[in-house]
Amino acid sequence: MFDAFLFQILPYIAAVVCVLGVTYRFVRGPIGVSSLSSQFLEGETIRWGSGPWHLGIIALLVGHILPLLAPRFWSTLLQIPGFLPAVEGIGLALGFLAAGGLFVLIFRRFGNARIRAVTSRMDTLVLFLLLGQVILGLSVALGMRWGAAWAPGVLAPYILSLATLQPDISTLANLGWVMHAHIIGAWVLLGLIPFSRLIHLLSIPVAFPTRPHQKVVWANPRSSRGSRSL
Amino acid sequence: MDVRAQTSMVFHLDKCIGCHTCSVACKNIWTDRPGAEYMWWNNVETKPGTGFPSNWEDQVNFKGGWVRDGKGKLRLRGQGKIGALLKLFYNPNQPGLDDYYEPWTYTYRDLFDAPEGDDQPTAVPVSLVTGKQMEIKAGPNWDDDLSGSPIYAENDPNLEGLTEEERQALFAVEGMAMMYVPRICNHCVNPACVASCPSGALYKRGEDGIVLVNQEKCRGWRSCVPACPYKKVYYNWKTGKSEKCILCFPRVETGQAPACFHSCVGRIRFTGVLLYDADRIEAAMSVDDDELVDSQLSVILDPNDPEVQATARMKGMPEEMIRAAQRSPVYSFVKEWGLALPLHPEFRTLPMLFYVPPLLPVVGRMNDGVYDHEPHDVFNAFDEARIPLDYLATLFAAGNRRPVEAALKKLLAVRYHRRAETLGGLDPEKIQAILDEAGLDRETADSIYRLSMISDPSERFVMPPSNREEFIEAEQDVAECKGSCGFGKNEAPRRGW
Repeated sequence: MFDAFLFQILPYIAAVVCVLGVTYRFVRGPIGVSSLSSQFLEGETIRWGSGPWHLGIIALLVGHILPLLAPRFWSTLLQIPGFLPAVEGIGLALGFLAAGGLFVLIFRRFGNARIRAVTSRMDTLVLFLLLGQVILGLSVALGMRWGAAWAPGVLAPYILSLATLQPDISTLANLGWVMHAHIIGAWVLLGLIPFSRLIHLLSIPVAFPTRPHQKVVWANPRSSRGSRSL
Repeated sequence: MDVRAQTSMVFHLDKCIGCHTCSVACKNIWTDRPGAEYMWWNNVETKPGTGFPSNWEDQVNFKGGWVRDGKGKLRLRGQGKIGALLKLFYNPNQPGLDDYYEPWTYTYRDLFDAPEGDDQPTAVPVSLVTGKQMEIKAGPNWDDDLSGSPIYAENDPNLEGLTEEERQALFAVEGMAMMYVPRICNHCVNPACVASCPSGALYKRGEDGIVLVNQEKCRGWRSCVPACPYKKVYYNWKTGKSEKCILCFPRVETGQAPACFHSCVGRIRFTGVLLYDADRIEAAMSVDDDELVDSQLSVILDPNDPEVQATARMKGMPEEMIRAAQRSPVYSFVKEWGLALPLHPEFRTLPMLFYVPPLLPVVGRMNDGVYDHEPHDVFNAFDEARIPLDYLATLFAAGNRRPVEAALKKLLAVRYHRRAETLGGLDPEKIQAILDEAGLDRETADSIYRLSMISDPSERFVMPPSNREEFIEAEQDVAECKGSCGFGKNEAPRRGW
C-alpha cells in the first residue's frame, strides 16, 4: 500500500506539481526564475565547488536519461566490448566529482557568514537532499554492480508504464532499499523544482549561442522602419 | 546609413571639483536599497588612482570589452559563445564584493539602549550583508584625493606607459598632481555587456540609446559584470540580478535632466543628442588603437546635413530629436570643436560619454628660489605638465597624444584669448598666433567660452521629452499608465519557501 503511494502516486504528484508550479512561476514572477548566485560574496571556494558539481551532475543526468529514453539503443551500445566498464568507470568518476563539489558547496554555504546570510531554509533542504541522492547513487554504483547493464531493463519499463498511465511496479520489487530511496529521492526533487532554487534548471540560455551581439529594443515600432535587427 | 539617436554626455574635467554631489544624488534616488548599497552607478574617481571597483581598468584580470581577432573582427575579450556557457557556473573574471567594499551601517540603537556604565556607549560598524560587527577596510571613494599613495595611485594601470621620471614628477612631494574623473555608464553604441548576456536581458533602447537590464529576463548569470570594461554593471547580491545606471530615463523621458547632471555643483556636465550611423559600428571599432578616436568621431553624423536628416526622418525619428541634435552641446564639444574625448576607446565599446581633458593643474616649478608658472612658450606647457600628456592620452585616446594635445591647445588658447578680452594687457598679435596654432578663430573661441563657462541649464541639457504617450495610447489609456511606470519592480524575487 505504502509502496503503491511512493512509486505509483508520488511520481504523478511530483510531475503535476512541477508543471503547474513552474508555469505559475513563469507567469506570475519571471523575475524569480533563477538561482541566487553567491560568487559575488565569496569567489574563492566556489571555484572548487560549483564547477565540479554542475559538470558532474549534468553529465550524470544525461547518462541517466539516455538509457531510459532509448533502452534498445543502449543495449546495442552495451554489446560493444569494453563499453560497460568504460561507461561505469566514467559514471563513477563523475559521481565522485559531483559529490566532491557538493561537499565543498555545503562547507562553503555553512562555513561562510556572508553565504549564510543569503541562505534560505529551502536552500538547506535542497542541498542535503541532493547530497543524499548523490550518496545513494554512488552506493548503487558501487554495491549493485553494473547498473548500466541491469538498470535499463528494470527502470525503463517502470518509466514507460508511468508515461502510459498504467503504473507497473513489479520490476522494482527486488531492488533493495538503497535503490528504492534513490527513486523516491528523484520524485521528491522533481516536485521541489518550482519551490526552490532548482527552478534554475529552466533558465538555461539555449538561445544564447545563436543570438546576435547587439540587441536594440524600440518602444515605438515606427522607429524601426528600414532598420536592421541589430 | 542607419541614423540613430544617442543620449550622450560631456564632462568638463577642468570644472570638476570632486565634491561627489552627483554620486550622492544618484545613490539617494536609485541605489539606496538592500543588495544595492555598495553600488555607485555614478562615482567620482581620483586619478592617478585605482578607481572603483579597485583596478577596474585592468583588463588582464577582468577581461572586459572587445578585442580584434586575427582576421580583424571584433570578439569579446572575456568569452566566446561556448566559453560563456562554461562560465555560468563559475566566472573567474567576475569582481567580488571585496573588489568594491563591504557595505556597513552603525549600531546607532546602542547609543540609546546601552546599560548604564562607566563608558560612553558607542555605535560600532556592522556589515549590511551579514549583520555582524566588522572592521571597515574599504569604502566608497576610499582613495579619494590620495594621489601619490603607494596602495592606490601607484597601482593605476594607466601609469604603465610613463617613464620613471614622469612617474616621479607626478608623485613628487609638493609637486603632486591629481584630477577627478566622474563616471557613469557610458551607454555604449557597441556594448560588451549586451553582447555577453546569456539570457538576452540587456538591451539598448532604439529611440535614445539608453542601455538597460530587463530585471524580468535577467537570470543572474553575471556575464555582464566582467564584460563591461568600465565595471558599470553591478550584481545585486540580494535579488540575484544585475543592475546599472539607467541614465535616469524616467526623468529624461519627461524632459528633466538626470539626477547627476541636475545636482552638479561645478556645472561640468552637458547632455544632448548625438546622431550616429549604426551600420558602421563594427567597422569603426576594428581599426588600430591609434585611429580609434578619429574612427569613433567618424561614426557621429552631422545633424545639419540634409541627407542625414532625410535618412533619420525615413527611419521615423521624431522632428524634436533631430532639432535637439542640431542644438546638442555634446555635438559641439565632441565633433565641432574636438575638445571632448571618449574614456578608454581601446575597449572598443564605442562609449558615448566624453571628457574634456583637464588643463589644470598649472605647471609650476621653483627656479632659483622663484616660483615660476609661466612657460616660456605657451604650448611647451604640455611637455612640462604635472600630469603627463601621455597619461591623459592613455585615459582618453588609447595612447594617442595627438587628439589630447589638440584639445588642450584649444583650451589654453581660449583661456589666453579670454584673458586678453577681459583683462587686456596682452599682445593681440601673440593672442592671434596662439589661436592660429590651436586652430581656432575668435568666434569659435568665444563660443567655447560661452558654452563651457556661462551657459544656462537649457543650453547644457538639450533632450526632447520622449512623448511616450503617443505610442502608449494605441494600446492603453494614457491616464491609466501615467504614474504607474518607473524603475522595475518593488517586489523581491521569490526563489523558495
